[in-house]
Amino acid sequence: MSERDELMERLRGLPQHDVSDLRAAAIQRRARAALAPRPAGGFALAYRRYLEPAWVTALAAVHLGWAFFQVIQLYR
Amino acid sequence: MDEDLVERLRRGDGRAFDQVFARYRPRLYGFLARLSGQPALAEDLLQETFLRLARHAPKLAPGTRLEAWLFTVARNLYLSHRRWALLDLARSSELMMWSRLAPPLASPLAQATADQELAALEQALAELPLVYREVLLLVGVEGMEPANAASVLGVSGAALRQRLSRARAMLRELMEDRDK
Repeated sequence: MSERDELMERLRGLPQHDVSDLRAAAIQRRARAALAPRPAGGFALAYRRYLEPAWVTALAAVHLGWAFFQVIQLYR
Repeated sequence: MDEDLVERLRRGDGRAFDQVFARYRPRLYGFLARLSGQPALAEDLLQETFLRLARHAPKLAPGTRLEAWLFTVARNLYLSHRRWALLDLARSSELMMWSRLAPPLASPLAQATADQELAALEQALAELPLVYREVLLLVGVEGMEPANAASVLGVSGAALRQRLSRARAMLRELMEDRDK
């Protein structure tokens, strides 16, 4: 075995360190809770259904632009 | 196997998360503990790494290599912590000059290792500069494929080989100095 391989072999043989079972369980529980999809409230559901689609955003932008133009016309 | 896990993680499958946690927890903790030399810090960074995974799970790309993803996040978290710690150290050393007076401490991991030869290896690893320590930890200790390790470190394959070779030479020198 070459000197290089021997060194790598020794590195692979280093003992594995690990957290205590208690701490590991606490970390797992906390992280897993972040994974669960959050229950969506009424507003979030309505937003997703009616406001999120791109065409709604585009339509709203056109209406806002039109309203802005009308205000400018009014005070010109 | 990663592909299936990634797909299930994207759907928010808790059991897939448990599998990933069981598979990568010891390796990530070992990597972080040896990288930082501080078991308590390694625990905090481990928790943050898995929290990031949980939060980003729905956004994972279908072909994501979990090993590289997790080790990259863990390494970045450590580097980020280190930057803040160095800033703090710079501030406190101005006041107390601790950084010049304190003798180098033996790594807690080395102290905890019973076998003297392994303890010497742990200590030599802890004394390596960060760029060389991390490459040896990934490829040598964790047995990561060089392509994955290069991706974690953000370097090319050629740069990784060069860094690895230099790291091995430095570690060998440190071990020889210790033996004398």
